[in-house]
Amino acid sequence: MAAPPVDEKLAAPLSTPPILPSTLPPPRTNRFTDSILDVFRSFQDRRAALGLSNPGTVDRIAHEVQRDVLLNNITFSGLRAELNKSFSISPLFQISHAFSTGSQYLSPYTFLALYGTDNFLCQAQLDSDSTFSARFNTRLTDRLTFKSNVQMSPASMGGPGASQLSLEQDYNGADFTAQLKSVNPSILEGSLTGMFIGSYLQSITPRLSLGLEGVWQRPGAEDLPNAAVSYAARYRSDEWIGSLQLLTQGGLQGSYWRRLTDKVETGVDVNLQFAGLNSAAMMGGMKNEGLAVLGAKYEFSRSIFRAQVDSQGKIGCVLEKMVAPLVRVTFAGEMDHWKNAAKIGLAVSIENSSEELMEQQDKISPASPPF
Amino acid sequence: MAWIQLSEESKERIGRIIDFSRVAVHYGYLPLIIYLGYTRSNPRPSLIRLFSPLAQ
Repeated sequence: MAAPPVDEKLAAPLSTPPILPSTLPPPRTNRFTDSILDVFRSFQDRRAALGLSNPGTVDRIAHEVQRDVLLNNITFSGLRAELNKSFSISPLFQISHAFSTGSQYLSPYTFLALYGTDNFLCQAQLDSDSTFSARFNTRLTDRLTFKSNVQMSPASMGGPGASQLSLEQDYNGADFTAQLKSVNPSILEGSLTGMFIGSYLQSITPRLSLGLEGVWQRPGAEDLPNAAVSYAARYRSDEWIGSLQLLTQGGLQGSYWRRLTDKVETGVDVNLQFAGLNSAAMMGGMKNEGLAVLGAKYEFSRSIFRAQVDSQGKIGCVLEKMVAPLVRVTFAGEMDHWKNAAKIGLAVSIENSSEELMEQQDKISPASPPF
Repeated sequence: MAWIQLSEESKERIGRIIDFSRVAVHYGYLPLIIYLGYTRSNPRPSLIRLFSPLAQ
């Protein structure tokens, strides 16, 4: 009996240069599987020859506009003070205390702890009203990431306690990203319940990527399941990035991002809802709705200024300024001319790390946990 | 969906396991992170700095 070819490689003298597994010719098995594998391999080779890059994920398709330029995630109201302490950079270990007053959404005190190595990330956050949220992410291989997220709020006078569990698997291929996310999956009610979101984004050319996202949900065993698909496209040119998302419920979301100079970025986000395509229109009160937001971001040497104006007459701005090397002051303001309402916020954030750590920072590269 | 038929007993058992793990995560995860960070970080921080917002 002839030994399998792999053993011959192992028996080769040690002086020969190591052969990478990808350069090995595939072991021949039989004609049928070989022909299938050959087609598959030539397909993969042609695909690799296109030189496509990873397009990112479907839910981050417009993140240059929605996260970096617009104020949706940064704006706040009331007074806030934040104290971040980092104890170690490899592994990453940080503790943060946040105090807040005068805000509807933020609780008076929040304690946050974060621990991360290159392969996993643990984060827990406890509020003074005892709402708890936890994250655990791990990088199973260099392409596959598993993310889990738990949120629990205890039973109180406001209502019964609620908890939410979401599990997410991300696969980052060379030219595509596939995601499967499940929220509160359960089989205890006799059938599969919960919400499941699958998304796939593929680079078609170096500039264009197309993808789709499917949602299947069944809140309880007595409810009928419903499913929806949305389509997404993203185009990246040398100067600008545009994205378009078509939702089957009759929504259209488009965004456009452009860097004007190396310090100034600007973005437009347009969201349209068409009542004609929507089955919920029978409930009445639905009409064609649209919202357009124009925003700009200026980066100065010690501060960042963001401003936005939208088609419903709302103006907002956020100014972040480094007052001292480790102290940052943020001012947020928002004015709604139609409703005659205004919001204002001021935050101070202090980074606190020991001198030893500062010295380490130059020598050791920090851990990069899978966020 | 008839492919998963759990008896009442096992449903109850799974429910109990979920309830227990919910409590365990709620009260145990944050101490676990602090313990991991405290024992593995380099240099090892002092305990008073770990909890008090004011300590340097």
